[in-house]
Amino acid sequence: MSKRLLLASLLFATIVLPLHADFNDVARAVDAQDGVKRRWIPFLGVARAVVWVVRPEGVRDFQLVTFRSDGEVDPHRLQKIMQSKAGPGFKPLVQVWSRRTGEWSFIYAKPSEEKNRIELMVLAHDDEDTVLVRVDVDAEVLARELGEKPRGVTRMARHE
Amino acid sequence: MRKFILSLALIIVAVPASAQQIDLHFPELAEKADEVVDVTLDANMLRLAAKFLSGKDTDERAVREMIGGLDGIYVRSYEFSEAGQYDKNLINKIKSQLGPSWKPLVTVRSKTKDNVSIMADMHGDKVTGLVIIATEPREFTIVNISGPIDIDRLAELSGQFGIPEISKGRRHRDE
Repeated sequence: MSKRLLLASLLFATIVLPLHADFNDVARAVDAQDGVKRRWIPFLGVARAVVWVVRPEGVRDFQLVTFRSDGEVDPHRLQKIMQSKAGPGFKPLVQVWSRRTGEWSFIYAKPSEEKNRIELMVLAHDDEDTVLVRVDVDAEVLARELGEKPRGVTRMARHE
Repeated sequence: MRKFILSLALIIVAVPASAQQIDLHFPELAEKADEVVDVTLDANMLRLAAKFLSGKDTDERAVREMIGGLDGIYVRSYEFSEAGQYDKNLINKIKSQLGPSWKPLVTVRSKTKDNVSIMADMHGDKVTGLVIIATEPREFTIVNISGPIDIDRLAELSGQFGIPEISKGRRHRDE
């Protein structure tokens, strides 16, 4: 890939793609916590742009931020961040935590005004990492794809 | 004034028929518990969840039809490291929130194993809400299903959306 094309892709990813204040607010608030250090993932913007155009398996858009655990993190603080910063329309769907394993997961969902579309924001934390991801999916397309390709999904789940 | 009285009368008549929202906020349990599962599916989310269920598979189609008419499914489950970590009066506190239309359907009591209490919001022969409280010495689970429920098909929700598996013919020697 030529440098010019790479720069154009990055510019496209940075400027054209919609900014989601809710996701960025959560990411910034998590980043401000003691005990986490944000990881930079190269070409994530380009990957997002590709997903935005191709829409694989009904996924229309995604955002991802990962953090390396760098000391003690208070998961209650993370829960409060999701509650206060996830933005209007996002509601808690599933919240699971285990003090035994140190794993905490908060899944918030926002049904879109557009039929079948749903936005999910997931904040998952364990002793090693904290991951924040937002996906915008077409539920019907995703369900159809999963239903038609059970073997593929099983393979994906098994990392084959 | 007449309009106000009419509106008030309408509200009074309409309220018992609508699904009752039960307070399932138990911060004191969440603080003490080792493992917590909290599932909140309102009507909008249930409609979307239904889209993920296949229309081809008979079981999934049955669940899809069942949840299509529901107003919400709420599950709170707490697991503790030791027995006796939750207040046994909590069950009475939950039951006290339920109005006179709520009737006990099933009650299973055991001194050492799990206790199960199922209550239904009955309006004539129709069930418009269900509360399931399952407790063990180290576990406390409450499920609230809100909306019209076909009791005959309730077992189809078992194991879905965080609802515990409902096994038939479960017996304890000490019951």
